[in-house]
Amino acid sequence: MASLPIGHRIRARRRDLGITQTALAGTLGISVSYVNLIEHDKRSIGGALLNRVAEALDLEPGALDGVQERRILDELAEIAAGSAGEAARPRPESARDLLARHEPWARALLSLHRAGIRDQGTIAALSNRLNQDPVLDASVNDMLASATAIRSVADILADAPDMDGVQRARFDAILQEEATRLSDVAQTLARAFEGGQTDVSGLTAPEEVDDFLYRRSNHFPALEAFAERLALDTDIAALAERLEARHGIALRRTADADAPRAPDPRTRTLFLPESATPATLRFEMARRIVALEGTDAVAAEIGNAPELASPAGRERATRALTAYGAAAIALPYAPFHEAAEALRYDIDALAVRFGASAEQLCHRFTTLRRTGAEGVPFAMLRANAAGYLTKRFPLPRLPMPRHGGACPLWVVYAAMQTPDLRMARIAEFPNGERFFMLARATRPPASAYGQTRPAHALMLACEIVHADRLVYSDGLDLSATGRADPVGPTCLLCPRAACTHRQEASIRIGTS
Amino acid sequence: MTKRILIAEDERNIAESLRFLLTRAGHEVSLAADGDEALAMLRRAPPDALVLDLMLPKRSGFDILKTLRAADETRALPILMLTAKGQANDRRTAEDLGVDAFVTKPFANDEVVETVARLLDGGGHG
Repeated sequence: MASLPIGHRIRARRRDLGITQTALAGTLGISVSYVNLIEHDKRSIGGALLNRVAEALDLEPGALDGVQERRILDELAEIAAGSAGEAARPRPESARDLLARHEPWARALLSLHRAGIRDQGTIAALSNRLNQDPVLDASVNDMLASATAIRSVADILADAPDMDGVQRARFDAILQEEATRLSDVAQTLARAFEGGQTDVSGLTAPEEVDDFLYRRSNHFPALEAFAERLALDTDIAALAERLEARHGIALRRTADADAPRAPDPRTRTLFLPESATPATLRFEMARRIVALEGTDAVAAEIGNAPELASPAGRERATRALTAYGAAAIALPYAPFHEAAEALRYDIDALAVRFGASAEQLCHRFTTLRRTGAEGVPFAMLRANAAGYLTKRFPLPRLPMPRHGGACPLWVVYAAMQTPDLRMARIAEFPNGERFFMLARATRPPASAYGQTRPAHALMLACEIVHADRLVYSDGLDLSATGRADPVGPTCLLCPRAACTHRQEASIRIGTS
Repeated sequence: MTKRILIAEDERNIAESLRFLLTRAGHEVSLAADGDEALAMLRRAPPDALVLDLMLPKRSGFDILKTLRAADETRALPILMLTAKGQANDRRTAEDLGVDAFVTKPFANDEVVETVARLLDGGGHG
């Protein structure tokens, strides 16, 4: 391990005490040039000499142990790793020089970095608040309720001029009460948006695509129709033959697990890793077919979608819909929907029947929204081992955070502790609504010795009223009084003041 | 002929205005302020029609709807669902669970009174 740059601290302390390098060298019994080297971090010191330096400069023995410096260097390394552009990225070792020679600059950089992180948190909170804030949700409900009462009573009063005095007085009182309530709600909303000049309109491309998929309930009829028109034999050999015969693209297996998943335009060869499972092979080939033959269907779905404001958003949406088309080919709507209902969404049974992976199946479940042939409305999310949500598809009443993690009590995180075991839970949210949640953590299959294979967990969730359509709810008490885990959306938005699992303060506590 | 209507609605001012409207239309009206009370009243004395709010405390409108459709004696009970969230998903879920009609708040008084009348006459969807 490189030595820690503590020379600057020795030099600063010596100067503060008005001691010269020569005097310090005399006290320590070493040469002046050696002191100079130490102060410029050209020599690392430890043990007895370090203790003597601390003593001579009247410092606590631990003051020169370099812990502070280590912390600063770690944070500088984080800044370097996060800076944009490979070429402009500072070299990690230069952080040590910066700290040794310009400590105030290093500290100023850290202050800026921390302020940046804090501001990002604020933006994330505001963005979450705009997208799925329960305060907004509750306020809109209250406004609608007041508006309903006012409209109905006002019509009654206008309609019934001969109403008796007592009844009329009662309805007048209702109008008065609801008008007051409406004004209270307006004030609550105004408070929630205090300081609302903050610009949170800058949605990222993934967020644009999230909104696009959500507003269309993740169902795209033009792509379903495209897949049904093709009615392909989804056997791997048949798909390979179509790519070769129609597009001159040959399929080759490669030992390179990171081979690009688009054909090499020069050789017209699609390289797929040897480690790819049959489900992945089928999906990749179907994706290629959509990219070559389904561009009109993809373009028809994207059309002039207002959510896709940026070129990056449209490009990302194109990729997402190409993958959607592949799923529609590999798991054709009508037979898949029928089998899913008949097998009660049994993922293992459907995997056997359709030769698809659990993740492909779960994705496809969320797309079963065809009018007249709807599946269970599912939310889906995928979390990595660090707790971050790496894929999300929410339901109207089951919001999912866009940033960081969800409530740590969601079963998706518990599933991480016992990979391969499917866990089913009933979760109750602070507003009393209940959801059925099903999660399993898996590790990618190994294709060589020594690979890092971090697990990720996949979760499906549906409103409790649909849970009896799932094989996984058998044996659970789905009634309103049955056992349920008390959970929240995210800590930031959760009003459960007594929760011992809270990771950050809530904007819902002490603000109403 | 007088029909008995149960209104399950936790917003008491909306409930009161509905009670007035349906009483004026010649019905006998009772009120339940939460999901549990509604279910208890439904079991004690099944009405001729139910006006059911979706977002009820203790037990949601969906939950009540599902319970009623699973029991022989209430399988055919005409049910009008009210919601402050007129989202397509809510409507679809309610229809999947067997609701007869669906009205979004804020409603027009005539819409509720006429829909209840239609349900009592044996008219379902549409």
